[in-house]
Amino acid sequence: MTGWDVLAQQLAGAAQLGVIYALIAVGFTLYFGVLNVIQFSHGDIVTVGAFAALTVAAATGFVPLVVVAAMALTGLVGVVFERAAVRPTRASPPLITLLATLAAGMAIREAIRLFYPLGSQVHRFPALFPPTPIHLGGVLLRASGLWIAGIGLGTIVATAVLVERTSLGRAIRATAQDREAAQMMGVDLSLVLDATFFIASALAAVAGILYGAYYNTVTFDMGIVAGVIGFSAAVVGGLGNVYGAVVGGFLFALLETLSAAFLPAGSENADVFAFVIVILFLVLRPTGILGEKATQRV
Amino acid sequence: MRHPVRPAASSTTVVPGGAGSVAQPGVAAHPPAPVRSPAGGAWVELGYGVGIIGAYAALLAVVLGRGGTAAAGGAGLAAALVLVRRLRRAPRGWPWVVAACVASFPLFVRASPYWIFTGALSALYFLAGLGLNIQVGSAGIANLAGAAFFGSGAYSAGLLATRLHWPGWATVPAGTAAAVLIGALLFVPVLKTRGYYLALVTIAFGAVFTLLLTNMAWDGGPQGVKDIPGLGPAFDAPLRLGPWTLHFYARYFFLIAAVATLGLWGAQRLAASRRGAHWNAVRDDEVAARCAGVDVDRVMLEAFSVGNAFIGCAGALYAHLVGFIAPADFNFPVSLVLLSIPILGGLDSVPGTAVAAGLLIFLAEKLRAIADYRFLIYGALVVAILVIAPAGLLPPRPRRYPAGRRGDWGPRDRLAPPAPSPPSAPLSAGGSGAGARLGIEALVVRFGGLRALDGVTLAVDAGEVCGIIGPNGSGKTTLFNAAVGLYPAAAGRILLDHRDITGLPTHRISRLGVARTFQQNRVLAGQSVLDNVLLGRRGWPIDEASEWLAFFNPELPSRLADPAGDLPLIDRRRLEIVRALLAAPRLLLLDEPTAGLNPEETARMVADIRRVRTVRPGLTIVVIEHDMSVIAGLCGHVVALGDGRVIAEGRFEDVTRHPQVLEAYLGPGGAVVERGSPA
Repeated sequence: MTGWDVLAQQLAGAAQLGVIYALIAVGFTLYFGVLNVIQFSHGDIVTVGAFAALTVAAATGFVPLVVVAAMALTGLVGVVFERAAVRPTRASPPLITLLATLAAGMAIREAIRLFYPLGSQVHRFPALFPPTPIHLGGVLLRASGLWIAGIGLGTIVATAVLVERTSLGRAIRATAQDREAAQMMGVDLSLVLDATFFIASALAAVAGILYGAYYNTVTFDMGIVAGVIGFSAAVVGGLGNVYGAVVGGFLFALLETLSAAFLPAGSENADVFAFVIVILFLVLRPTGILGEKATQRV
Repeated sequence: MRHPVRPAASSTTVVPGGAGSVAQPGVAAHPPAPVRSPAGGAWVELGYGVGIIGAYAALLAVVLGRGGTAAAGGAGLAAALVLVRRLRRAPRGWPWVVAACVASFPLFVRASPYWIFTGALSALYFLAGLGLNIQVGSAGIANLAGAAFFGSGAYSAGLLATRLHWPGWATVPAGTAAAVLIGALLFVPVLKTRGYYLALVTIAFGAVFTLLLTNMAWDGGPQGVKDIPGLGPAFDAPLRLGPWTLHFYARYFFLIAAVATLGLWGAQRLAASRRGAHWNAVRDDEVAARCAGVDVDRVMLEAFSVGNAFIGCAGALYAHLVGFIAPADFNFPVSLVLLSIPILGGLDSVPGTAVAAGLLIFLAEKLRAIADYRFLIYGALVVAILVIAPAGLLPPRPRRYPAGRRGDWGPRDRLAPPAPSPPSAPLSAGGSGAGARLGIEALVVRFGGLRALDGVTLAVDAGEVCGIIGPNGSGKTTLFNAAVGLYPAAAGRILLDHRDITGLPTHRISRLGVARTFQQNRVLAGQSVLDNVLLGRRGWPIDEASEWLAFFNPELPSRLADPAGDLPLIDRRRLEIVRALLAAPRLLLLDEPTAGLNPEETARMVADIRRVRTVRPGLTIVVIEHDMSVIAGLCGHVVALGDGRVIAEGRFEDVTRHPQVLEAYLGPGGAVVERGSPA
């Protein structure tokens, strides 16, 4: 393989990871934009999505059903999460909400470990997509990779359409911009909160499924790292900005993959480089790439 | 130069307003303790003492008991907590009662080294929690990498002890220092980023920390450091105390409890000090703090480093106590456990930190009995507590004054209402009285492409009162913001007397004698009246503060300890002016002092500012106002701004009739419909 082939190979990997991170980051940014809270356990919702898919896939091999059922289940978990931990603490200082979500996430993680059969072990994720090899010049792709990237991108586009083109999306955007004004214009705040958590959690389910398909395994605590990375991507892109989250997701995946491929001892230190760059980036541009809101909160 | 002179109010001068009636020799005008019947007081104190011991008994029941006993103990603890939350102030002598309880703990659980160990562990977490409380609670620095600094201390101590065979008395200070030094890596992000962004920086830092510990070989890699020796040979032997022989963990328990007590003492002192007030001010309103002369950068780095010292010290002790450390002991979830201590206890509440540390550690260990389900219950319980008590278990009480003095007035204790007497003589102290000349030369301030100030030149002579008028968006407030260094000048100069202050940081400009108020009132709503007005001062010139407060409203000195946010708007505006005046300014910038006030209040405010002139005749004052009656009543010299330029300057009557001013206010042709004053 030539150097360019190596690069292309890495980019293909980065594209798959990128959509996964972007899907998670969009959730963070939705929560923040609409409610001004950080749902710090969004990563655990991703885990819920992966395990929901695992459960459904045991019953049926029909992939669309697996995805939709996992999205619906996880969305409901998200709504319950919001009503139990976020809504009651919303009026408190942001750190309180942050800790409440973290603790609730811990409860979710533990519930999966305890109540899913053999929950504490590494679970093989079923091959939902065919791993057929595809050769493009010197680059080896797999059909599953294309599926991952395709489904991820499709979901992101669908989300954008939902937020930009539907009346629910308009209510969400209005609430994000000015909650009180939106309420005075007849927006049902409670509904918007539920919808935001449902949508973000359903996106997390897709991310969880793609994560499982990419790594072939899932564990009950995979959400910790997934959450930290998703949050990084959202912040780097600019909290509250959906497109920023997508950009941030791809950027983080690119950083990770390229440092793994091209830096000495890169494979084990890939996240070190990625996080150091996140820190440097935030110092130089403290509100993210596309961020306009300067936050004084926390 | 600050103004360190304490007013001579204590013995001779009759202090106007509130302080006068309560002044007594030696105690100055320090507000008196509320009257209590001594007998009732003694009973109350006794009740407190019994309560603390009862809570302790409940704790022991939780630790030692099973089933019903433990549950009853838990209920007792919860009841005690609810009671303590309702107390207005802590009982006298409580530190001694608590100390006795803590010291006797190993004796009660002597049958179980495990519980002694747990006691030591919770003292450790308390120490670390104190550090995080300073960072997160007091100064508002969102540190989600507590475990990394804990780990810095632990790894330093562990490696020094195993590889270089340093003794315990050297490794613990070294671990403390290491945490502070490693924290210094984050100095730049701490200053540059805020809120969630800083939270992410610390998360990323914590992730890098554990990844590097795991990936590098010299520190033991994923296996960590094993066989860390105890703190010293003495710490490996059982402890004989009279008739009892205790497991050697008791030695650690007593040492760590002593260190934690020292930490508690230090943290209390800091929280009660002016530095603690500065931390809070930085957390609540950075701009107000800067404008009052607080060096925000320094204050933040101090809080961050002091906090890391606490956490690092706890980490070093942890390494010796446990004897084995690995990267997984210091990962993100551990940071969350550490962070949950100050949040659960009540941010910025030192006693709350103690309660939460005890509760979390003992609860976690007690839940170990139900093995697998403990983290599930733990998570659910934390959510429940936060939903029920969002302010934490023991929310902070307002600061007591002065630091170190055994002042006896709590948050809500009303002071004797002072005699409302207007000051007959000029205020005795504060300020040399000499004003400064403000010179602005061709000042340009840009926001992106917009020139908010476009070559403004004006001069305000020492001792003059200058009014600045102009329609919305003409650059009035921008001028103030540039003058105090909040906005950078793209061109031009700002002179204070003959000194060029262009480009100086805001707190330096403030310390040179420039004080200001804000159009959008910027009192620190959650802090006491006294905290607010003393923001720009060192020490505790309480008498002087009372004097100035009474100057504006005779009732204010009786509310020194109330949260400023409880005051009506006019008093909050007065508070800002008092805050500015107490900083002994030479130049006072008032940004719409009557905005939001009704006509009656406006008239009083104008009269009060005129009275300030009579007691501080030399002070230079610049007032921004929309209300022309205010300008007419105060200012001999008026400058009109329009679109970032000076469009007229001179006497009030002339400026308000100037055609360009009328046009700026009323639009083209405005001059035609002129009827007297354009406002």
